[in-house]
Amino acid sequence: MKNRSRMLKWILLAVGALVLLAYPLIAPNRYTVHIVNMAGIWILMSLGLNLAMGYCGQINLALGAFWGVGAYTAALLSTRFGVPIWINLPLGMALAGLTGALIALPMLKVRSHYLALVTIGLAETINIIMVNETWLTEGPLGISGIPMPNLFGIAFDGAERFFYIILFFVVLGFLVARQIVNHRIGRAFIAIRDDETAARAMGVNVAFYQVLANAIAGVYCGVAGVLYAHMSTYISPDIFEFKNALFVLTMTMVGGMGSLAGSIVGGLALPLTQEWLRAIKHWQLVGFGLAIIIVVLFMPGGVVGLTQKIEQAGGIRLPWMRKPAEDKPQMEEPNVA
Amino acid sequence: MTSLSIFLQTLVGGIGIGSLYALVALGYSMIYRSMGLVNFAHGSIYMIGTYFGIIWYRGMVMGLQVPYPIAFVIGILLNALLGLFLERLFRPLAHLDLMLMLLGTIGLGYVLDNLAVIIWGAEGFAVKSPLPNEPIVIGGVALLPQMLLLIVVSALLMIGLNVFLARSKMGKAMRAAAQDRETASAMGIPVNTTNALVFAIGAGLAAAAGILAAPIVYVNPAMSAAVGLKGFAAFILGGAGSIPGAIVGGLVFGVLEALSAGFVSSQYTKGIAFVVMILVLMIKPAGIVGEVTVDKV
Amino acid sequence: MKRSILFALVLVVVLAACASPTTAPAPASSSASSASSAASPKPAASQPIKIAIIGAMSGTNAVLGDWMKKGVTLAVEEKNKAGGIQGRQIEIVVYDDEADPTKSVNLAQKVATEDKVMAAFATTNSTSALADIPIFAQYKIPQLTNGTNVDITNKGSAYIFRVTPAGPSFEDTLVDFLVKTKGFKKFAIIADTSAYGKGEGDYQEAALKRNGLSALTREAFGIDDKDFTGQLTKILQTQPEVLLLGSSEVASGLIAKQARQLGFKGQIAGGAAVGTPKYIETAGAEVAEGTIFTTPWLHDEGNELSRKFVNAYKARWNETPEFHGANTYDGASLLLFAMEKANPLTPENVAAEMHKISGFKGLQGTFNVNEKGETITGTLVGIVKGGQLTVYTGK
Repeated sequence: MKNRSRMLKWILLAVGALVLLAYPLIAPNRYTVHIVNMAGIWILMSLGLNLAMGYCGQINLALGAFWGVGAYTAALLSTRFGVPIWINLPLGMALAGLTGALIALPMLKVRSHYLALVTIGLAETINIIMVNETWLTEGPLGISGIPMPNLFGIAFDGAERFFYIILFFVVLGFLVARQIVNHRIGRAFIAIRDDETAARAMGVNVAFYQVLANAIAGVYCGVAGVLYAHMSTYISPDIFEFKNALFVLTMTMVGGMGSLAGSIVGGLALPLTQEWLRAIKHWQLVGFGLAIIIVVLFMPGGVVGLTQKIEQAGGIRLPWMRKPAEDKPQMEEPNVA
Repeated sequence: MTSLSIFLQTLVGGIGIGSLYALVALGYSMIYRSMGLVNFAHGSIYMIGTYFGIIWYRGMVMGLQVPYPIAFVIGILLNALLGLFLERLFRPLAHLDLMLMLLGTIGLGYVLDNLAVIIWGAEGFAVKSPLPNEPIVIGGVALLPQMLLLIVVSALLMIGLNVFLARSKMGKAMRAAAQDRETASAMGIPVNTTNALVFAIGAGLAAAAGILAAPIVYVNPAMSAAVGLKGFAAFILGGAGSIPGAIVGGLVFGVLEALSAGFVSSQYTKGIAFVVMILVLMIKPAGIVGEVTVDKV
Repeated sequence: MKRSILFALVLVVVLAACASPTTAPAPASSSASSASSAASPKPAASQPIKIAIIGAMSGTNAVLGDWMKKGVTLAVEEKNKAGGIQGRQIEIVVYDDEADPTKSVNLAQKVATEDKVMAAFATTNSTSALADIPIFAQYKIPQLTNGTNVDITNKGSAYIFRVTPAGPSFEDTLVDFLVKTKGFKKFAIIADTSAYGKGEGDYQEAALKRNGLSALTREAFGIDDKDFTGQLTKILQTQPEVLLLGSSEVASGLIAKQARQLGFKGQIAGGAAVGTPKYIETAGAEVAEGTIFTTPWLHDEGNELSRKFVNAYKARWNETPEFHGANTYDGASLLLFAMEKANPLTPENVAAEMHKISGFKGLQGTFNVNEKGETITGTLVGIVKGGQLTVYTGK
C-alpha cells in the first residue's frame, strides 16, 4: 500500500516534470508560453514575499521597488555598457537585496499597520526617483531595447527558449527557499513570526534576522526584475508601482502564506485565471474582488492551507496523499525533509 | 505678494486638502478603534459616498435636481446606510490577522470600485461649485469659497464628533466598547450595534469629505485610490485609533505636500511627504498623537 | 511538501489546457525561431480579417480606450457595409490593458499569436505603446498608435505608425503662435510627471529655446494630485504672461481653475489635452474662455470630409467627436487603404503598403507616411470661445 502510493507519487512527479519541460513545444502558441513565463516571474517574487512575510512575519508592501531595482540594474547595464545577463543577475540581486535590507531598517522600530504604510511610502519614494532622475533612469518613458540574453552561443530570443531560463530560476529559487526554511535561518524566522519576545529570550538575534528576511525578499525580486527586463526588453516606472506589489501579495495569500508551495499555486493560478477571464471586463474585477473575500473568510491558509485541512479531516483522498497517521508534520515546520 | 502672504497662501491650500484627508482618516481611525479593523476599502467608501451625494446635486437620479445642502445630507445618510451594511459584511474580518484584513478589505474595495464603474461609468465628471467661483482676498491671500466651506464644515464635523463621543450616552458607549470589548459587553453595551454605528459615522464622514471636495477636485471611480492611501497615511501618521491624531495627521500631511511643492521640489512632493512621515514614525513609532499602542492585531 | 508540488504541477497542466482554445491547431514544431508564424500561409477567404484594439478600457484612462474604440469601429463598420476588404469582413477584437505595460505586453502576444490579427491599435498610453513595439516588430504586424510621445517612432521598428502628429508638432505650433503672433515673452510651465506630461513640458521648453526664450519656471506634479496651490503660488511669483499646461484633460482643467482663483490674469495655453470638451468641463466655461490650444482636428472644421464624419459619429455614438475619435478614424482609414492594396493580404505586406502612402486625404489633413512611421505633421491653433472649441481666426 505504502509502496504503491510512493511509486504513484514518483510517476506523477516524473510526468509533471516531463510536461513542464515539453511545455513550450506543446503550447498552442507563443502567447500561452509568454503568460506562463510571466507567471514564473510572479512566482519568484511571491517566494521572496513568502519568506519575509509568511515565515518571518515581516509585512512588506515594497516588492515593486525591489523588482524595479533589479530590472533597472539589468536595463541600464545592458543598454549602456553591453553587460550580459549572467553578470546583471548577481548585480541585480545584490542591489535589490541591499534595498530590501535598507527598507528593513525602519521595520526594526515600527510595527504592523504602521509598518505596512512605511513600506508603501518607501516603495513610492523609490518609484518617484525612477520617474524623476532622468539622467539615470531615462524618466517616465522608461528604457527600450534591452537585449534578450545570449548564453553559451544560444540566443534566448523567444518566449519558448526564455521559458527554460525562467523554469531554471523558479526551480532553483524554490529549492533555495526550501533550504532556507529547513535551515537554522528558517527556524529563527518562524520563531520570530510566532513570538518575537520569546525568540529574543531564546537568544535569537531578532533584528539581524528581520533585516535578513527582507534582504532575501529583495534578492528574489531582484532576480525577477533582471529576468523581466531581459524578457520584455522594455521597462518603465509605471510597471513597478504599488499595484503590482499588491498583486503579488494577493497571489501569495490566495496560494497560501507561510507555505512555499502556496507561492507556486498562487503565482500560477492568479495571473493565468486573470488572462483567461479577460473578456468579462468589469464584472471580472468584481468577481476577482469577491473571490479574494471568499478566500480570506473561508480559507485563510490559501489553497494549500485548504488542501491540508481537507486532508487532516480525512476528507478527499487523492492517490498520492499519505494516510493522516503517517503524515509528517506541517510544512511550516522546519524538520521537513 | 509678500513672502508672508505667499507662505500663507500655500498653507491655506494645504489645510484645505488636509481637511479632506483628515475626514477620511477619521473614518479609518474610528473603525480601527472600535473594531480593530484596518479598513483599506475606506477610499472606495469615500468615492461611493461622493457619488451618493453628487448624483442628486447633478440631477442624475430621475432628472431630480436637488440643492447642494440637501444633496450633501442625502449623500451622508445613504453612505451611512451603506456603512451599516458593510459593517455586517466586515465583521468577520475584524478578528483576523492584519494581512488577511488587508487583503479582505482590498478585495471589497475592488468590488466597490468596479461596481461604481459599471453603474456610473469610468469617465467621471466635473462638479459645479454651489458657491461663487470668485475668491475672497484677505491680505493678499486668495480664499476660494468652496475651499473655505470644506475647511469650516470639516472643522464643525470634527468638533461635533468629539462632543458626541465625549458627552452623549451613545458616544460614551462607543468609547467604552472601543477600549474593552468584553467588559463593555458584560456591562450591557450592545457592542455590535455600537460598531455598526461607528462604521456608519465613518462612512458618513467620508461622504461629507467627498461631497465637499467634489467641486474642487473631479469625480470618477478612480478617485478612491489616491485619497484612500493619503487618508491611510494621515491615520497612521497621527496615531492609529486616535481621533485628534487623525485630524492632526490629515492636516500635517496636506500642509507637508503643499509646502514641499511650493518651497522644496514639486517633482518630489509625494516623496518628501512620505519620507518626512517615515522619519516621524521612526522617532514616534505610534504616531504624532499616538496613544501607547494597544496592539489589536 | 512534495504533495503540494505535485498539486501545483497538476494545476499547471490543467491551466495550460484551459488557456489553449480547443479549436486552435497545435503547431507541433513551434520552435523559438518561428517568428513570422502569425502570417498563416493560406488565409481562408471566407474568414473575417481580424484587427485588434489594445487600450485602457478601465481605470483613469478608460476614456482614451473608449475614444479609440469608437473611432476605429466607425471606420471599420463603414468598410464592412461597403463589402469589406477583398470580399472579407473585418472583425475587431478589443482588449483592456488597464494602462499597465506588463498587461499590454501579454495582450500584444495574445493578438499576435492567438488571434493572429492583421494589424493592431496599441495604444494611446505611451509606455504601453513602447512596451508593445518589440512584439509587433518581431511578428511583423503593423502597430498603430495615437500616442504623441516623440520617442515612439525612434525605436527603429518598421511596423509602428503614429496616426496623429507627434508631440513637438503641437507644442511648436503653440509656442510659435504665442511668441510670434501674440508677442508673449514670459512663460511658465506646469507639467505632470507621467510620460505624456513630461514629454509635453520638454517640447514646450525646446520650442521656447528655439524662439530664444526660456521658461521663467517649470513646476511638476503627480498625476493623482488635486491641489496645485503650492506650484501655482510659486509660478505666480515669477509673474508670467502665459501659463503653459502639460497634462491630462482633467488635471489641466483643475490647474486652469485654481490659477484663476489665485489671481492669474494672463493667457492659459496647452497642447492636445487642452483642446477637448473635458478640459472645458473641468475648468468651467468661464475659466476656459480664451484658452489657446493646438489640435490636429476640430469638429467645426469646414471641410466636407469632417462634416460627414461628425454626422456619422453622432449617429453611431450619440456624442460629438473630439480629436481622438478623429485620429483613430483616420488611422483605421489608412490601415484599410493599405489592406486593399496588400497582395497577398499579410500583415507584413500591409505594413509595407502603409509606408507607401502619400497624399492620403484624412480628417487631420494630408498623410504622407515616412520611414519612421510618422504619418502626418501640422496642427492648427484653436481658442475656447463661448464655451466651445473653435478654430482661431484672429480677433
